[in-house]
Amino acid sequence: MPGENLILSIRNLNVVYWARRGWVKAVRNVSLDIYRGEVLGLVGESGSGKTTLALTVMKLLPTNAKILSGSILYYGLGKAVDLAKLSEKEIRKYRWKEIALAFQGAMNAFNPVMRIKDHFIETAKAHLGHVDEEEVLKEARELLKLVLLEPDRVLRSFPHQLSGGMKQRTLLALALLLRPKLIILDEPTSALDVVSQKVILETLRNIKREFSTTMILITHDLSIAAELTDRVAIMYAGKIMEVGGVEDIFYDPMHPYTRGLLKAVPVLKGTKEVESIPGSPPDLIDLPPGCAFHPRCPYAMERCRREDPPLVEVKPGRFVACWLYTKR
Amino acid sequence: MVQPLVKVEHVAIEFRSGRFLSRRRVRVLDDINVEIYEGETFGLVGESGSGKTTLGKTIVGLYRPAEGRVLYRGKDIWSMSKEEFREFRKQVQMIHQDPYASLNPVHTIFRILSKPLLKYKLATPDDVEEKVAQLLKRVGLTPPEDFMYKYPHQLSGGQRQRVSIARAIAVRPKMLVADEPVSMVDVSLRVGILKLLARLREELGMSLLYITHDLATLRYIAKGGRIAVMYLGKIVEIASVEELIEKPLHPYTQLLLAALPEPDPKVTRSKKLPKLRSIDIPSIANPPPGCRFNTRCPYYKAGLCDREPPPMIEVEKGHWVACWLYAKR
Ligand SMILES: Nc1ncnc2c1ncn2[C@@H]1O[C@H](COP(=O)(O)OP(=O)(O)OP(=O)(O)O)[C@@H](O)[C@H]1O
Ligand SMILES: Nc1ncnc2c1ncn2[C@@H]1O[C@H](COP(=O)(O)OP(=O)(O)OP(=O)(O)O)[C@@H](O)[C@H]1O
Ligand SMILES: [Mg+2]
Ligand SMILES: [Mg+2]
Repeated sequence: MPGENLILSIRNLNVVYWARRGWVKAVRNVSLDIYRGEVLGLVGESGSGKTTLALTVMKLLPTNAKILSGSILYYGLGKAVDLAKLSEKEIRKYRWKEIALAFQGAMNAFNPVMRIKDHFIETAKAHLGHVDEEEVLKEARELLKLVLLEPDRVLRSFPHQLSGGMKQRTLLALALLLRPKLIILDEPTSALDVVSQKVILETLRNIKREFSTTMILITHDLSIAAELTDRVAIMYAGKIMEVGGVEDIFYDPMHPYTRGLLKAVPVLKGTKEVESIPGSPPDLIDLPPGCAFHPRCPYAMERCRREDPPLVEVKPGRFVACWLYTKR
Repeated sequence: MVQPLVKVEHVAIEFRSGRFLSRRRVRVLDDINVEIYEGETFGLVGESGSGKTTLGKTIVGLYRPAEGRVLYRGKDIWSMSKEEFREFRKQVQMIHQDPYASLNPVHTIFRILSKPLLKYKLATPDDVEEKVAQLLKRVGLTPPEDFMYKYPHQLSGGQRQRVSIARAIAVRPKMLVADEPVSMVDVSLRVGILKLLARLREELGMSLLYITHDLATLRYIAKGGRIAVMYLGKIVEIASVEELIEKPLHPYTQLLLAALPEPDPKVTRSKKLPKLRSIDIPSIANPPPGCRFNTRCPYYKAGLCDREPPPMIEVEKGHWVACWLYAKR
């Protein structure tokens, strides 16, 4: 099934940050495939390494971070290119034009003294060189309509004249301006009211349909993943614990962490009992030996305390990193 | 009739806003009426900026109403003597959304918890260590010795929030106002905090005012209790938890329920938003005239909804709603 449908293929990626207390192992041996036209949900709790993974793909890591090993193969332009090995100059051909990232909390990323209209024009200029401003604005109007905003009013506005939800939707339109093939959305709806949230998710669904854009949706909220994604990858302590189709993950979770997480989320109707996972997430500087989840896992065995289980395909399309499912 | 523990009567809260020349008052709560009874769990739900925190802070006596009164056991808290007010402040405790900001980072957990115990003479220097240990056990931080001499930054978000809860119950309050206490806690640990609050309310016979924007959470914590829904500084509906979720009457409550994503792909994808007149929430500085929801409401009637604010009426026993769909002119 890989090959031509693949757009991004991450293999054995390890990323660390240097902090005062030591090395923070933020991304640990991550392997993940993303297929053309799909929405992949990257779900994990705070500090599990989701943003770090996104920044690594974009090569936008801060200076105290280091890619220790691994490859990030991008297939968008035909032949495979390893983004991890590109220089800063080379990556510019891919960043925003091929792969765009809507940053976490990016609502504050607008320049406060620039009208929205100029944000569109500047973005186009920075990446395409000389552009016809009218052309850019025509395109911007179309995109703003798509995200359910009044194009002319928004283009005229300064950022502070828009509400949080409007800014977030404007940002989406801006990220789409260069028609990237892959767009990474880091918590695109956090800090929004539930109505704007639903609207954004529906908008993303339309964008996917309209432009067949591939998306990686990063969220800590399982409900948002349930709403929009085709497949889900569950991350814990820098590692991918489970990958599967969205219905498989929600209706037949395999990894004990995925199960625990689903059990911990309240639902609006029905009689589901909720329960939290005992203990708390590990310190990424000083990880426990073996599986990082073993201190909290109800099924932990001797082997889990010694050896970190690899992510293996236990059924077609279903990957789990857990000794319960891995034959010796 | 049983006297409510706390009664909020026609309360308005105003803040000054804007720069020097354009300085004016913004009314962020308007004509709020709520009664909270002894031992009851009462949920306050609404979107960001609707005024939940402001109402919580008004109830614990941190904001003084521009209009209306807050009564504690029948007594207006703003005409209490200094002594009475001090006692009131002790009996009604609040825990905040951000456990990082509300715990002093340079004090140990022991110091944070012993302070209120000594201040209100609930412990003596001789037994304070034991009392602090009891509190820690009570909120599930065991063994206490592992936590007592740590600093807040050495604890996880969930553990820090447990310390805030311990501090609030140290003085044996009659009521606890919990403002989004789990929003900064890891998803996998939230339920633990909710269950702890529910258990403490029961054991200590407190009332619990639980503030959140998440109706699903509220359903678990406020089982058997009541919920008030806020929109742009107004309460639009009050009902028991079960009624409100099964039979929401106000178009805004219906919208909230329809928009809330759920952790189930089939369920959540089958939910559709009603056709709204507008997606965006108006600014609280310029609330629309009449019913504040009229600019978005799918049932909007021109000449009525944009003219007069609807009265709060009791449609069924204990189920109150402020909407012209249910009220007669
Ligand atoms: N610049 C940095 N320097 C040092 N450590 C960092 C830095 N950025 C992130 N970290 C650490 O790396 C780990 C992973 O962080 P990351 O931001 O990728 O998590 P996340 O899953 O995106 O979390 P959240 O849901 O809170 O956004 C965390 O332990 C975090 O504290
Ligand atoms: N001290 C203050 N001075 C001026 N304005 C304030 C103050 N506190 C709150 N406001 C304004 O009052 C309104 C209601 O705020 P409040 O914090 O009560 O909302 P909330 O429902 O708790 O929202 P959230 O869910 O974001 O916590 C907002 O518009 C806010 O900007
Ligand atoms: Mg992040
Ligand atoms: Mg608040």
